[in-house]
Amino acid sequence: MHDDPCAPHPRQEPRIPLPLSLPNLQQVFDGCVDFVQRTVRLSGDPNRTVTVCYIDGQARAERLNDYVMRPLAQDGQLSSAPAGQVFDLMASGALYAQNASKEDRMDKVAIALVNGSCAIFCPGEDKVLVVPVATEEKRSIGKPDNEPSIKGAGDSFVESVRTNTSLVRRRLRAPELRVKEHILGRQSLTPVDLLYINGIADPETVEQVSRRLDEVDIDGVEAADDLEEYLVDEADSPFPLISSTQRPDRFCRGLLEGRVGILADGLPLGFLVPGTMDQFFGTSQDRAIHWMAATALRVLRYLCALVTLLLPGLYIALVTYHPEAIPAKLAMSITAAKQQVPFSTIFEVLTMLLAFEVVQEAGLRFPGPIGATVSILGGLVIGNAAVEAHIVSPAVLIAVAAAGVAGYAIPGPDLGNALRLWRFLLALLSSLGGLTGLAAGCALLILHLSGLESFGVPYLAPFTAGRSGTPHSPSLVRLPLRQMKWRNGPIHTENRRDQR
Amino acid sequence: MKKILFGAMVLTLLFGRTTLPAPREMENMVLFRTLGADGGSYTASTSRSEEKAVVLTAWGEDLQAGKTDLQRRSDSTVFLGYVDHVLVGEELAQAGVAPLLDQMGRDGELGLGARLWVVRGDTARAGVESGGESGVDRRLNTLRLSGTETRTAGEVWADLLDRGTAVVPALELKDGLLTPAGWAVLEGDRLAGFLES
Repeated sequence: MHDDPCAPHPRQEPRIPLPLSLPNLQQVFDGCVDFVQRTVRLSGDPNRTVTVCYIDGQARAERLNDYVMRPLAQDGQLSSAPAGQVFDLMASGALYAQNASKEDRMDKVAIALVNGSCAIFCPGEDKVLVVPVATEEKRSIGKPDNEPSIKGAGDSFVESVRTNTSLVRRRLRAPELRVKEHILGRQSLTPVDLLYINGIADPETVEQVSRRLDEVDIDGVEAADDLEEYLVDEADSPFPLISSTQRPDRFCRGLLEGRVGILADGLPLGFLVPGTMDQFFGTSQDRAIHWMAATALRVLRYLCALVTLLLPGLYIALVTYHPEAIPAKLAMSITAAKQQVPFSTIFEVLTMLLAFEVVQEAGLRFPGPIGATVSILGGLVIGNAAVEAHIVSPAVLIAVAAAGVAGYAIPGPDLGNALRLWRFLLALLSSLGGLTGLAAGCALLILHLSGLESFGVPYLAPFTAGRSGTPHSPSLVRLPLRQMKWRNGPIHTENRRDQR
Repeated sequence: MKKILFGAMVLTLLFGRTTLPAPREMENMVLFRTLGADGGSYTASTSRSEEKAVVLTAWGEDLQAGKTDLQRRSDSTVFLGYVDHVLVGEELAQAGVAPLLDQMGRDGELGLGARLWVVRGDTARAGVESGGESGVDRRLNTLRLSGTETRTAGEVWADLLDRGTAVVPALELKDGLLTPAGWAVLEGDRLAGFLES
């Protein structure tokens, strides 16, 4: 017991301070209906038995039966060997397992059972043989939900970290690819793998990521932000400082750029650090299509980011404070449309921005067919009815809808969310001071972004000159691949050149 | 530091509003497209949109006073930011256009970007009212697009300041319609005569 309930709970080492024995293991899993123990006679000899313990649902029945139970029951060598050698025989290949380890700590045995292994107790032995027979029930590899592929691979990360590392290894067969595991979460004990290419990734960055992972002391890793918010330098910023992807090809591209990757069990995502702003505007399709088209699309995304951020605020500023800046015909059209609208422009825009967010959130929560109906109802019918009822003017609806749709052109949803928040703030500042307020808000945004760093790399580094004297290829646009001979400029890498 | 800056900015926007423009709702504005200036009177006309054009005449010893009187006579906010054409009556042109141009330059809404015309042999009010329900700006735009040379108030004012003389396109009313009538020659800032095109 500790005196201060608010202080971090001290870690107990060992986690389960009981001597390793079958009764103690029964005590650890007392009351658990899925804890199974089975006494097996070696080759039917009633005088020679071993006890096999496993967690039902975690251990795969076929593996357990074929590779553990069958040899125990049928292998004559085990029944005829001297009692003191049976344990060693099982450990050295009598059981058909890819791995078998001797454990003498209760907590390790208990965790191994939860992870899908079985534990074999031999009478007279103070150690236990742990044999992995884990079930491989997991979601099959499918297509990424949020990053569709038009011309490229169609596989996606799944919830199993080992499957995910295999997807990476299939693409990066270099032995220099390192996969180091950390266990995060006091209760979840989630395996989190750190991936990097030795000789390319910056060792300091790898060390920094590794250290931050070790410093994460939480109960469980169940959501993406359980990792992201604990790893980033600045948690107060809505802008993402770590990029995430469902696509192994994009993940591998990041490793080749010299970034450090993170895969967590239970999360069908791969994280890449450091995260710079240009990452959230690029897609894996950029390298699959012609460089001119890719560059044009990237420029379009930048413009969409500006539109989604500035259009509502700009509309408020021009219509309310600076009508002389609007072309005359457009001004007359807006004036005519607003004649019967009872609300001010500021109220209209802010309300429609909120309504857009509500419709979007509602669309996410409903099941597929109903969600589509809600989107149609909310977007078309209600919007159309609101205009015809003179509750909002068409120009406001167009401005807000254009800003909203432009936000979805940005590949990185996390960046899109941050821009949505700032869109509200800029609209509020515009309503207070017109273009002056909008400009002040933009200055504040630039000030904020320029102060962000991700593992030592400035967030806006791709927009600056990059590391002086360091050869690098531009990342804002996509040049012909033959000209992109250098790795990403702001990323610290040991090896700068990535092609001849 | 960032929070302090943000707070200072919000406070400035909230309480330091005197130096910032005031918010105005566009639906409450009347957007005049043409302004006519005679000695002591100002006539403004909108363009025809869904309703017929609005023509309003006000009086004032100068442009600012005229604007104030215009506002007094209108139930909407008068906005001169979209005035494309300024008609000057011959009488005012003979008295001198410098005060008018000077005040146009100082006016934040009007500016010197509007095209300047001299109405030959008549008042600017008559010229503005000749547009009828469709607004005189339509006629003036037609003249401009059909090749009639135009000059902005800024160009005329610059010529007067640089050279002391300037030419301004002239119009006259024929059968109730404004038609090109050569050029008005200003010396100093007063009308010296007309040149036939």
